[in-house]
Amino acid sequence: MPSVCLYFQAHLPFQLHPYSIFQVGKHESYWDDKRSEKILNQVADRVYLPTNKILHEAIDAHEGKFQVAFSLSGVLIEQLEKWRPDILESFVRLADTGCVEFLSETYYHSLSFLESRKEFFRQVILHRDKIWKYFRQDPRIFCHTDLIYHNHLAYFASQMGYKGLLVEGVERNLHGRSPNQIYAAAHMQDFCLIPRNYYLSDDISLRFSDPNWIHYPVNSGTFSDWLSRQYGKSVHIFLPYETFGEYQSKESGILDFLKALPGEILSRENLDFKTPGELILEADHKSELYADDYISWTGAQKDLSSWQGNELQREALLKVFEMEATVMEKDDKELIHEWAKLQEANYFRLMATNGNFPARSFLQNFSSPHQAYLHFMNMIADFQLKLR
Amino acid sequence: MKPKVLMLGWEFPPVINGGLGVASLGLAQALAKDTDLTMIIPRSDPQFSLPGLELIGADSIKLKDLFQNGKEFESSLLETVHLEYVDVPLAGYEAPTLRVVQREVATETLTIERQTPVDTPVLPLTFALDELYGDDLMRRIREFTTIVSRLAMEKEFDLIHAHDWMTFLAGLEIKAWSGKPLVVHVHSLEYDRSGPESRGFAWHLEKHAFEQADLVIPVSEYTGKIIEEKYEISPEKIFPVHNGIESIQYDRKPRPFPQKLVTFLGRITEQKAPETFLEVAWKVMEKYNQVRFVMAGEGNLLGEMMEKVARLKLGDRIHFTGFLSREETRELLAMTDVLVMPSVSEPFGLVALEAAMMGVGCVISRQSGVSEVMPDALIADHWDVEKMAEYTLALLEYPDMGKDLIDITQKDISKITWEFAARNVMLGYQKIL
Repeated sequence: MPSVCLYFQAHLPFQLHPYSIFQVGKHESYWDDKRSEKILNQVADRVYLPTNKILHEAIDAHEGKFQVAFSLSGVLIEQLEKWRPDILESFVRLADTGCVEFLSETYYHSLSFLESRKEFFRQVILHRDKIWKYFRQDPRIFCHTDLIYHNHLAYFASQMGYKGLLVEGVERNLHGRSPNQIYAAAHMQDFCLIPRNYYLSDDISLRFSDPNWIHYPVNSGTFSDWLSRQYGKSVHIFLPYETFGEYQSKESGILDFLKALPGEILSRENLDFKTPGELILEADHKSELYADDYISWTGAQKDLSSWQGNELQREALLKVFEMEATVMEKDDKELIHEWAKLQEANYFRLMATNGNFPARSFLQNFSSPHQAYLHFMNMIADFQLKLR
Repeated sequence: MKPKVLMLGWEFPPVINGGLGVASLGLAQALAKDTDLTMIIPRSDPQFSLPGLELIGADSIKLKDLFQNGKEFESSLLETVHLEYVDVPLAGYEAPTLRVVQREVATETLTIERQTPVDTPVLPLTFALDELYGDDLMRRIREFTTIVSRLAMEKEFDLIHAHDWMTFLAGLEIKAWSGKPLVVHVHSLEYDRSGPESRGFAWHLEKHAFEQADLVIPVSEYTGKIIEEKYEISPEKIFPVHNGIESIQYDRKPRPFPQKLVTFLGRITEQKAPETFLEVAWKVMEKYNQVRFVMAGEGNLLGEMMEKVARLKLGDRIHFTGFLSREETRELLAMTDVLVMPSVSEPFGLVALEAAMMGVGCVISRQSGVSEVMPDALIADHWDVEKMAEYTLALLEYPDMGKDLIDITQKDISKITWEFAARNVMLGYQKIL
């Protein structure tokens, strides 16, 4: 009997300001708070508020049988604290139901793991503290920025006390095996990897409203049938939370789909819900899943090329981390926070020239990858001057 | 008696893309004092008028009026020039360029016969748009030619003065039916924009116009030489006149950052040699640490230049700006220490003159017109990266020497005015009237 594992990644980057050569050395703000607030409000009203409500009602209605997992980036929590405490409050109420598991990630939804393990560690702890503060949970499962994964990450996460990790179910790593089961990390029998079933996940997040899709329009009944016919122990549906109302608009019926989904799934005899934490407790006889190269859930390539695919992106990230030692020496909380904010993954994706430029306008600060690089490097130059 | 001049322009304030608009304005303003000047441009702004100058925008002409006056061409050039689009970018303007389809038009002899027009064309006016170039440049040129040549029938004039190839067709048309002498003013050549090997429509049109014109006015002796040698035009009718410049009152501005600033300012295209600038930057940075570079402007090579800089991990030292407004350009020059203009071939190079006027040390390419009027600036051949780097370093390391050079150069250019340029143009007119 396959268990359905639903996980949502909720994150919104702070919006960047254009930063011209005339501002280098003036230490003006790199972030456009007005735009950030506006976009947060928009996404809050379209996504977070209605979807949280739907989930809460479903949890109440099914008396503990419906469970989900979340990760909220620190950056998103910070924006909610600032501009939409009501949304944060509704997440807290979700946590209070006892049916929502919160996962760990980096506070800044960053690429820090690629450049500095020290900084990565710092950000995970920061995030853990935040989750404890609001939700009184100490996550056992880790979920990295956009499911970026490498063997080394498993080792590092286990050292930090985590028991498992979410990964993309990429064929080249599964080698013909099913994503519908729990794997062990390379040479680490005790550390669990939960692969995303990206066919079924993408049916919701990418194809739901695509009229050219052969199964369009799909309803939650049909989708539940597909789930119940899956082989394997558990089906792992991982989605960006912004799917509900942003990637898929309200008009597409996505919210109604979600509303009916728990009932439909629970009415199938062979289906139930499990959170990642429950899944890994039951897992045994795991085969190992290797990732000698980075994988992720982004782009057709499902690798790092959305963030580190060209010279512009590589230089930009490198330049951020070149400043690490100096920033830390300054021991100035505000300064460190600002520097870490510059590591947010989407900023590098804005410089993608391989077609993985963010598709949604709320993620686009600049008109082209080259514009993004131009302004970002001016910020770097300005920040370097702050450190002198 | 003041001569009556019918001037045809393309860029004109407020629609300015580069040096052409600035120069057309400066010259027209100064010439308006000594001539009876009518200027026709694609688009005029009602808020923009000049004393003594009748300025007509082709966008303001009612076509009906134009074709109701009974007078009619017996033939038109436009009938024989058949054109089609090819999708290679027109260097410098990022627009599709054109090639002559009828081969006989493109031969060395280039005989364009005038034929009886089939119908009076009624064309939609597109000149209300801000963008003068763009994808349908050729259609705009045709419309401009049609409208302007008919409009000219109602005007009295002694000579026609056309600025750059976009207006040459109209100039030729008017000369053909009026028999008045044609002056073509050359601010820019296809030879420079697309490279010595290019033989596109613009090149053929330029060559044909130079052959037919009574006087060719290039903006420098350097460009005059190219017209003589590469377009094979008799030097007797080539009469170079340097551009002028309006004096600039703009105070130096402190840089917000401690490092000195070396600037490249222009379209990021082959002609302007942005890659040479980067090579100069690398050489300079090896020896001098406290410096930033900025490549200001946009163009088809911008992305490539950024990627080059990123590959060498110098994006925090070499900056880009994208498009800058005129005011921003001034602001940038006001905080610049050294301007490097490494152009492969530059008919004039107004930016260097502006920079010098604002007290910026200049390192300029010898293959430029402006080097003729700034003999005391630091001049190097465009391929001589080593020397340009050396000069840049010298200006950075020895600001006193730089100041002396700036003083001398400012003296050199103090006589470079539009009045002076206009007087020279008048001398040219006298040769053909």
